[in-house]
Amino acid sequence: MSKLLKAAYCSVFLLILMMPLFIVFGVSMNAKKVLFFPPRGVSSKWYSELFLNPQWYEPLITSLAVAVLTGLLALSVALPVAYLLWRYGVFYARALFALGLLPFAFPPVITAMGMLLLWVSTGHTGQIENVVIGHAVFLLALPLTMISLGFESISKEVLEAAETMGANRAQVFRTVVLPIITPFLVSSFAFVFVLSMNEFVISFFVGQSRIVTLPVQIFSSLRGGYSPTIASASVLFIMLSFIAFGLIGIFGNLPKLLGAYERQS
Amino acid sequence: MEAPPGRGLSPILSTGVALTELILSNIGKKFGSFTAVREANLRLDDGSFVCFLGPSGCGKTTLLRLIAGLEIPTAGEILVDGADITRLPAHRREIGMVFQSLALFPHLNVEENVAYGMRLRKMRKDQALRKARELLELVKLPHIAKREITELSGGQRQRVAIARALALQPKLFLLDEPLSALDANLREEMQVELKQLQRRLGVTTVMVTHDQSEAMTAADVIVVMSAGRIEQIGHPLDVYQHPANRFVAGFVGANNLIDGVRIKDATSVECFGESLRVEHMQTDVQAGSDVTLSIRPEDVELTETTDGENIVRGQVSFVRDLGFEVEAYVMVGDVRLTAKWMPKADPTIREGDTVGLFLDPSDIRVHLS
Amino acid sequence: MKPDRKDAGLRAALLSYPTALLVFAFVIPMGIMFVSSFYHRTETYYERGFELTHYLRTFDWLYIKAMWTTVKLSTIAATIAVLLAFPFTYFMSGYSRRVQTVILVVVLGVLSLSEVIVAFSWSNALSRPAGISNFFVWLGFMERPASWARGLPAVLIALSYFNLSIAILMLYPHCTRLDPSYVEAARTMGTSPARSMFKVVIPILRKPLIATWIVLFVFTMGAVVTPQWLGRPDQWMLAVHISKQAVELGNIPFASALSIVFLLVTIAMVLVANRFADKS
Repeated sequence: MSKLLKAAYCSVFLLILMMPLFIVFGVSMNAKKVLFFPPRGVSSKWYSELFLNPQWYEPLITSLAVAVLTGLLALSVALPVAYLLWRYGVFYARALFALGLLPFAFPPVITAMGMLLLWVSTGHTGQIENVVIGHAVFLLALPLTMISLGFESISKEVLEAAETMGANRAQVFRTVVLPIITPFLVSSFAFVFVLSMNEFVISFFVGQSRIVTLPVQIFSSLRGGYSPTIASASVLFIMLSFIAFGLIGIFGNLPKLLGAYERQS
Repeated sequence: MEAPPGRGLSPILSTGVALTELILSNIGKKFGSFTAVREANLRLDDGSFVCFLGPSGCGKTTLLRLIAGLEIPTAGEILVDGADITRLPAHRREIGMVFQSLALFPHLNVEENVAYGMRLRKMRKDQALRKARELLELVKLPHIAKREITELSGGQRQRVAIARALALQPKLFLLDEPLSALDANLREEMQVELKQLQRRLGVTTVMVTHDQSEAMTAADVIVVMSAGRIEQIGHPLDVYQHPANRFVAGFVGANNLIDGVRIKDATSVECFGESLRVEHMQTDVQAGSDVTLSIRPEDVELTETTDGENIVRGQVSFVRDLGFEVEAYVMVGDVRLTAKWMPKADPTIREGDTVGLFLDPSDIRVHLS
Repeated sequence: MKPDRKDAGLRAALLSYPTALLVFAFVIPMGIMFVSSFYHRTETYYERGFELTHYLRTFDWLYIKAMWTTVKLSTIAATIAVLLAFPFTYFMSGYSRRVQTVILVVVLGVLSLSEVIVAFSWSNALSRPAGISNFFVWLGFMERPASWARGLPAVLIALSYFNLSIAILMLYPHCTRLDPSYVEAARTMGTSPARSMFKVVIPILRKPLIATWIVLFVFTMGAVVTPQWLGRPDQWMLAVHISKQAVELGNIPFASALSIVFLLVTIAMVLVANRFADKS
């Protein structure tokens, strides 16, 4: 297959991938409250709307808070499980790992449904921690697999080498294991953060109109009639994702984080 | 930093106080039902270079790891300078180890790798890095201190691993097949350098290898192992010339092994339908028992006649002329014997020739089957 | 280093926290959902009981049709995504690390987009005033811009689109870890590059390809917003119904029953797909 053909295929593919984003961006810049592309009259007022109008501003803050908390919670659960599985490989750790992957394997609506029932039956409804826990459990699979990938990149002999140089177990963890998996921890957090920001189904079910995240707000706004603020909110999300992953791409080794082998010299 | 051979020299790297005598007493190690090492008894003297030699799976690496403290023996004791360290964990033993995979820390650069142990002991960073650089000079890598591990070649990584292992002036320097990943030329070079380094520093060294020429080059003492047992301990030349049993005879160096030989009496055996005279027979062999003979190819002499004492007759099946030596396969009955000689010493031989082989009685070794 | 008695306690403590969370927030909810599907629905709420009315109701033609639509659309969307994404990932793994990183950033950015945003974007892209039909008019292929924003094709496009990024990320490690000597060996035996991709690479990557398909399938099954915005009510996928029953109508028992049935169908399909993986 000629190089040209390959490049053409990839370019068209990427273009299609990015096309809806361009359109949304264009729509968000419309001066009037209409859905036109290319935009007729360019204005950025829909962006300021996002930050000034409490109807949009509050869900934005909620989403950010939920995303940060979800990231922390998910990592705090994934790290011990991944570590113990790697270090000891005992059956229980393996079972727990599989269990941690399960919520992601089910269609999100099922997990959302289950969460809803949990909170309804305990009477603890409409709280922000419900959404955080829901997101964290759902997205657990991501840090689990990424952090495991990180651990797998450490060979047993490297740890033993540290031991022979006088490091006790805690020191080995602190000086060898942790520095090596830190990039994986950071990128897991970024993934969970971004996906939590964008998560709709669970937030919709569990938030129960009392906790409103930005995607939920977009959803309900569209019912009530179109507003380009929806588009600008979408663009904000898009930018957020690209910035987060772009940073990782620049400062980290993205191919390696996603599973490609380290290039040998 | 020129130094006479013997004990450690540069003030940085003198092995200081410790005399190290290591004693393994009846060491055994089982993994579940699998016995990796059994009844190992060994004494290492200070400053000696010991090689554990044997085929894969013979337990040599396990034995090394027992000494390192990375495994705990299921039987026996380990004593260092009289102190029982059998259950002492690895990080409390004063060892430096080079692993087969080298195990360099991927998140640290070269000098940080070497300085790791020193930093662990709270040495100041600039001091530690300075010492690290001196060690790198010792292993002949002066200019790569700031490089990343991924940028190094195989040989360079080797040397960094060695420098790192020696950084804390360990009592024991342990190496697990350190040269196996290198290509042949580099390997030979490194063997010599390792030996020279060790002589200079005087640190007690144990190296595991399956390559017997490596062991012959570097070791003061060879420990030959097979299936978890120590078969023989001795000076390389000794082991070569006086193998303790059939296994050692066959494993260390190329050798001719002749099975199905019967003892006639204290100085002769029956072999190839003839009676061969043998000197230096072991005292515990009994007349009538089945034994194996071994004789080194270079001790098999081609003769013109085919009769005479200790001369057997055979047909040449293959000749290999390597320039500096000639090797011939000679079929004596069903048995193939290899003879080796310097090209100038003997007349040219061709395949199909009938020759006589003289087996000098003093070169024949007898082993129980 | 092997586990010893000393840190068995530490291990237990470390594992108890994730266990507690997963049991509490996943295992128990699933259990509650299962039990709730038998409950009795009252005027405003529901109460404990045991009845199979809700399960019977799942066999209404409306829901059977929705289930069938769901399975059909998920199958097609998963297949399209794998077919398009695989060559892309395969080609991409041949480019330099730099290029790969850039592509990965784009893919990740698109991946993380909410279903809401994807549906919104595509409804724009397929609409009359703002959509790509205007582009075709400009090119001269069409006379007037048209609205393609409602209907099965729109739903399918949006679903497949959403899956592309996931497919790429799942196939990426496998494509990059592929040993180039396989293809090289085929080439030395006279196979053209195109054929070697079919005859060599795809069989080797059969398992990851099928695993990817399964993941996409399950994922698509759960689509909630896309069918609602881009499809007509008779084309709604099951998750939409569950969502409406649970959140808007508050009919928890029925929603639970639907969910359980949904889950069973999903699992059944996954097992079938798995069989397909082993046999072929």
